[in-house]
Amino acid sequence: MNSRQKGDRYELIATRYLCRRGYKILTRQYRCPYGEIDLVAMDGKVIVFVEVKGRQSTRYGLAQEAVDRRKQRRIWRSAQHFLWSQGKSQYLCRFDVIAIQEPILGQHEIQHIVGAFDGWD
Amino acid sequence: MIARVKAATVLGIEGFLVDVEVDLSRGLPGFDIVGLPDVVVRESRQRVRAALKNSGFSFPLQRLTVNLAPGDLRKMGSAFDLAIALGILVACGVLEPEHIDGILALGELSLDGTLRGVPGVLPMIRAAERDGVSRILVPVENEEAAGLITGVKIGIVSHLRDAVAVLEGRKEFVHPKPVHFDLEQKADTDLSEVRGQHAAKRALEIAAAGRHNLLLLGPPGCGKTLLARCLPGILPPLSQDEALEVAEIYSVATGQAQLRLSLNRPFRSPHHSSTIAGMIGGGAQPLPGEVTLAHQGVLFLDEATEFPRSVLDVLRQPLEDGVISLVRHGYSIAYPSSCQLVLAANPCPCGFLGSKVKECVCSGRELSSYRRRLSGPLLDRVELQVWMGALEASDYATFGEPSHVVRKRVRGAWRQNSAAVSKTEQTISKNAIAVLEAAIERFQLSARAVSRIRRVAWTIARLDGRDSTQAAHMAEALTYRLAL
Repeated sequence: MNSRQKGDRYELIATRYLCRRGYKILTRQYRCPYGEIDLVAMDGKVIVFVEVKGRQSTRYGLAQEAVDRRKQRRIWRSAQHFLWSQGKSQYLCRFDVIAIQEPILGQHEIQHIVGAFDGWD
Repeated sequence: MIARVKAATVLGIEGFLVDVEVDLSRGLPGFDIVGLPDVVVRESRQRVRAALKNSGFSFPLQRLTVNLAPGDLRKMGSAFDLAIALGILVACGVLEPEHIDGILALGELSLDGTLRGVPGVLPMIRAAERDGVSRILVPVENEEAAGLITGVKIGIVSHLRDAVAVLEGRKEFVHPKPVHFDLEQKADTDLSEVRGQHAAKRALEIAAAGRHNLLLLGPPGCGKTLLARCLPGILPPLSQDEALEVAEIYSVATGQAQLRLSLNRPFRSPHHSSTIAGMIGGGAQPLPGEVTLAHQGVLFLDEATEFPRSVLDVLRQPLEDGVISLVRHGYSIAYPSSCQLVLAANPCPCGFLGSKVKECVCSGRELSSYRRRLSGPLLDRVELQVWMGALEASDYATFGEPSHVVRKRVRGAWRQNSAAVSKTEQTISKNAIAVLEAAIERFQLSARAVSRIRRVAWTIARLDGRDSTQAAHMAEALTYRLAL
C-alpha cells in the first residue's frame, strides 16, 4: 500500500466515523490554491474542517503531532477559501483533527480532537 | 455584539484607563488583539482562553477582536487579562452588558482562572478615582493597594468565577481591609554611634533641616558612610501624601504586588557600577531609576568619585528641577526626583591627602585627574561640602547626641520654614549681606552658588531659632563651600 492509498484509507475510516456520529459530509479532499482540506462536514449548524492523520506506529510521533503551525495555517487559509467560494461565511466554524493509530491492519483506534486549533498563532 | 470593559496601564508612574472593546463576529475562529499591545498583552490571548475554558465557560467559536483604546497609547503589562475575559463573556452572552457597565477590572489570569496580582495597581486605582469609575475589581494579591484608596467601591476577587459571581450580584463585593502608612521601627544607624566628627554632624543637621545636598570628603574609615546612613533617621517622616507618592513609585518600580507602606524616607545607595538608565530611569519598558526611588528621601552615592562622570552628570538636571522627563515610544514620561544628594569620597586616589597620620603618595597628575571626576557643575549644586578627618584617640570616649534629639531640632526648622513660605522674602540682616558681598568679590561666586549659600544661611538661621539671617549664619554657610 503506498502512502496515497494509506491516506485515502484513513480518510475513509474518518468519514465513516463522522457519519456514525451524525455529521453530514460536505466535501472530501477540498483543494484550492492555498492547500487542501481532508474533510469538510456539518456538525449541526457548525461547519467542521477536519484534518485526518494516520500512523501505523508511533515511531515518528503521534499522528496528531504532525499537524504543526504551518499545516494549521494552510488549513485555515483553505477554510477561508471554502467559506467564501461557497457563500457560507455566515456559519460558525471549527477545526478538528482525527488521529488514527493503526498498528495492525484492520485494528485502528480513532481519536477525535474537537476544536484542535484556532485561526491564531 | 460589542462589549466594553475598562482596564488600565501605567506610563511612567501614572495610571491610564484603557477601554477594552470585544467584538464577536461570524467567520473563521480567531482571536486578535489590536491597539498597540506589547508582547505581554498579546500573550494574554493564551491565558484568557485557557482560563475561560478551565473556569467552566466555553470559548466562542467565532472571530474575536479585542481593541484597546486609545489606540496610540502603548499598552504594557498583564493587567488586561481579567478585562478581556469579562469582555468576551459579555460578547458571547454569559454576562449582561449592564453587569460590566462602568467597571474597571484589573488582574492577570493564570491558566486555571485564578487571578494574580499585578504591579502598578496603586496608580491605576488612583487614575480610576480621578476619572470617576464607580466600581473596581482587584486581585487578592493587590488588596493592600486597594485598601489605601477610600473614594471608590473596590471588590477583591481571587478567581475569574469569583469576578463573574460578584458582577452578576450572586456574591457580595468584598471590600479591601483598610491599610495605612506607618513608621517602620527598623534599627536605623543612630547618630550617637558616630564618634567625633562634630563639624560633619553639624553639616548633616543643616543638610537635613534645609534638604541641602551634602559632600563628605575624608580618608578611608573616618565614618563617611556611617554618617550618611544616619541622615534618614534625623529627617521628619513623610506626610501621608508624600508616602502615597513614594508608594506609587515603588509599586511601579518593584514589579511586586507588595506595597511600601512606610512613612520612613527612602534611602538609596546605588553601587558605583550603575548605568545612566539605572540612575535616572529608562529602558525599553521604562522603569524609574535610583533618583526617582529616592524621591522625598536621600540618594547616597558612596565612593562618588568611582562613578563614571557621565552617570554623575545626568543628575544635574533632576537635582535642579525635581523631575526627570524621558521620551520613550513617542511619549514623554515624567518621573519625580526631588531627592537630597549625599556624596562620599576620598580626597585623593590613595585616600590620605591632608591626613596627619599617613602621607599621601599621589602624584600631582593623579590628583588633578581625580578631582575632575566630580564635575564643577555638579559640585556647584552641592551646597554643603565638609571635610572629615581621621579620628583622634579622645574622640572614642565621647558619644554624640542621639538621632531623635537632632530630629526634633530639624523638625522645628522645617515647621518654621513652611510658616515662612507665606512671607515673600526671607529677611536677611545688613551685616549678613556685607559678609556675602565680600565673599562674592573675593571668590568670584556663581549666581547659583550665591543663591545656594543664601539658602543654607537661612537654614542655619532657622536651626538657630531666628527668623532672619545674621552675619554669623552667612559666615558659617560660606565655610561649607570647600570648592571656594
